[in-house]
Amino acid sequence: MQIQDGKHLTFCLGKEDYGIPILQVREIIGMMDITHVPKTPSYIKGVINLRGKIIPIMDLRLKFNMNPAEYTERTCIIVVEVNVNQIKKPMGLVVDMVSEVVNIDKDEIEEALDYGAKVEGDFLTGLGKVKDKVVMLLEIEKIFDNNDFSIVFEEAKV
Amino acid sequence: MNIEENNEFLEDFILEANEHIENIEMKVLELEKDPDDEETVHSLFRSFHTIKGLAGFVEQELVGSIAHKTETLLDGCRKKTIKADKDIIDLILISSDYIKKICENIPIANDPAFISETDEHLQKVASAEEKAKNNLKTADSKIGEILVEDKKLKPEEVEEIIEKQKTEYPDLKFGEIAIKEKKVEAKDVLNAVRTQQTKSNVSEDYMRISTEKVNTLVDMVGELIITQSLIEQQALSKCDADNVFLTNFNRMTRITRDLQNLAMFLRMVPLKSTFQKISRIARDTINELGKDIDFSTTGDETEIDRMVTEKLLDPLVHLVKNAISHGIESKGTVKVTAYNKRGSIYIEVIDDGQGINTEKVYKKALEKGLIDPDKEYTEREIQEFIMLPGFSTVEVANNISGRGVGMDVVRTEVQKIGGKVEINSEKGKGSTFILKIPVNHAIMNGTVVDIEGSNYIIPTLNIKQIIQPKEDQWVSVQGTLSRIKVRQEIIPIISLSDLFGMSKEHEDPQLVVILELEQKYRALPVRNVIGRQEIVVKPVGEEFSQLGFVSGMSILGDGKVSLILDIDNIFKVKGA
Repeated sequence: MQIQDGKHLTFCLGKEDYGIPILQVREIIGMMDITHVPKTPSYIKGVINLRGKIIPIMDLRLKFNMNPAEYTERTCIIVVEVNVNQIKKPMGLVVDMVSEVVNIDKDEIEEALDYGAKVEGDFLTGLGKVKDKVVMLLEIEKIFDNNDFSIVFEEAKV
Repeated sequence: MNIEENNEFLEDFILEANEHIENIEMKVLELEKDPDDEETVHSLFRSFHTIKGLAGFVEQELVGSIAHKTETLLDGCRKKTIKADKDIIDLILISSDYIKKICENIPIANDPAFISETDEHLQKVASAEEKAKNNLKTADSKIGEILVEDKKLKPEEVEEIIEKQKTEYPDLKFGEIAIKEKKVEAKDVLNAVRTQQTKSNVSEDYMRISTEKVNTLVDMVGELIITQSLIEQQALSKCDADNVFLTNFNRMTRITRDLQNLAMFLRMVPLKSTFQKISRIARDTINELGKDIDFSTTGDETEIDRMVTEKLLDPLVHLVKNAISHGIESKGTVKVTAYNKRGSIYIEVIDDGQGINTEKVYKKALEKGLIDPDKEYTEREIQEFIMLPGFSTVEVANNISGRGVGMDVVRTEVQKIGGKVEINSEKGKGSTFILKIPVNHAIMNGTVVDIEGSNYIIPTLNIKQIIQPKEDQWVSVQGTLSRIKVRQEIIPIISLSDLFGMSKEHEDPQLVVILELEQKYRALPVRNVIGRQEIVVKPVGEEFSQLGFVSGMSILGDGKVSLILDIDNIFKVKGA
């Protein structure tokens, strides 16, 4: 898996810190009314109206099989751009809290392969060391992978 | 000229050349039907002429020379020294095909094999021109016709003049002879010439705008409407009815509504160019199979959302090819017709061939294990088998009836744009395939209802009535409410598990919406009916495209997203 260095947006899920490449982040918005879509997996929270565009929202906690958390003032939706079949689509990720933008150099990143993280190794590109914390670097395409879409589909078909 | 600039010019060239090619293809087909139509010949001539000019500018010599030679040929047709028969028309079409090929793939113009191929063709063009020139020399009679219309000449006088033109004055024009022979006055001829010119110079003024820009406009107008209804709600709660602010606001509402209609209208295009492409393919298919089929289209002025036309092409091509290769045995007619009826566009592909052989279809479906052998099917049901996935009566996919794409693909493609396919076939009389497509993808009248605390939109067209049922109208089967009695009808109830796969059932439904689709009814219990309004439909994102119950989404006045229920799907769910 290719290691992505450079600027990352970091955020928290419970006590864990995660990072995604800043270039893929379109914007960060506060929690808003989400319209539930029946027949989808629980981690698909539904859809929102982002200034006239309808975008799907995924709760990362639920996606990673963590306990659900109450949405608070600090809960955010990170709108990312995902490449789906060569088309860039905006999608929203619900996270507990956005922390900061950090620059992570290549030599501060460890490969993810052997770490038994809660997040299945698939989503990780590496582990970045930032000050005294370890930030798990996510590959967004893998979270919304075709594979994952097909899970949505299969469950939806039932 | 630097490379970048050059590329830009080249792109412009391709774009414009393609437009002219489209025009050529259409006009050629017209010419085939009416070889004497001067306007058609003029239009063809102009298109080739323009391509020639453009090609010179971007230094595409091959295109230039093809266009030039073809133009000369057309010039002959224009001057009536060449008759536009089938051979000539074929040559024109081949020319436009070569130009098209180069536009699709510019480097091919330097490929020696391709060049020699085009050379050969151009020689044919040149020799056809020579041959035709010797063959025929008709006089220019059109001016005569106009003069007859103007009552300045009698028909027999026109013939007399033509005769004279052939014998005494071969170098003079019709009008000149007419004046010389003192049949008419010079000013009458002048008028006639003017009439002739005005007839040929009618053209509309167009502007090319990228689809993306139009789509952005449509989106933004949609947002404007939403924001406006937010303000309206606030204003109504704060102002008295006779407030000047409200009067002005209402005026603005009218303007935005007009703006919205206009924006939607921008995306509507006539089916013309789709039909042209189909006519071209039909012509090629007929020639290839050597059948004697009269192909025609009507209703090409019918307008439809641009996005829809793009998706419509493949299914239509398939149906037309099917009609030509399977529908008609050797001689007959195939017709494609489009019309607008009650909020939908209908496109019919009609052939007068043998019709669908239901026995054969039944056997085949049985063989392939697609149907229940113990069940009895009606003729109509059997006809619909051909749209089942995995059904194809032709063993080997051939060039004509498509790349092994079956009727099931036609059906799914049409369903994707919210339409459906019907078959009407009678043995020995022919088959009609009817595509029914919603006119405007983007706007519809919707009724907003509250189902278990969430708002959903139902297309108002499908709502027969909304009732507040009395206790004794509910019919319970094995402890669950499964039917409702409305006057003499007993209507099945759509349960939450049917609709959304939920395990719970409707709690305390206050109202029941009676849905109607093709004279069938279903009852959908709801908590409340919120209102009825024009809504802007947004397509369902790819990630949700497998959800059958939702046909689209929309943003309502409160800024929240609501799902639009797919009525066809609801009727399918519960034993249709």
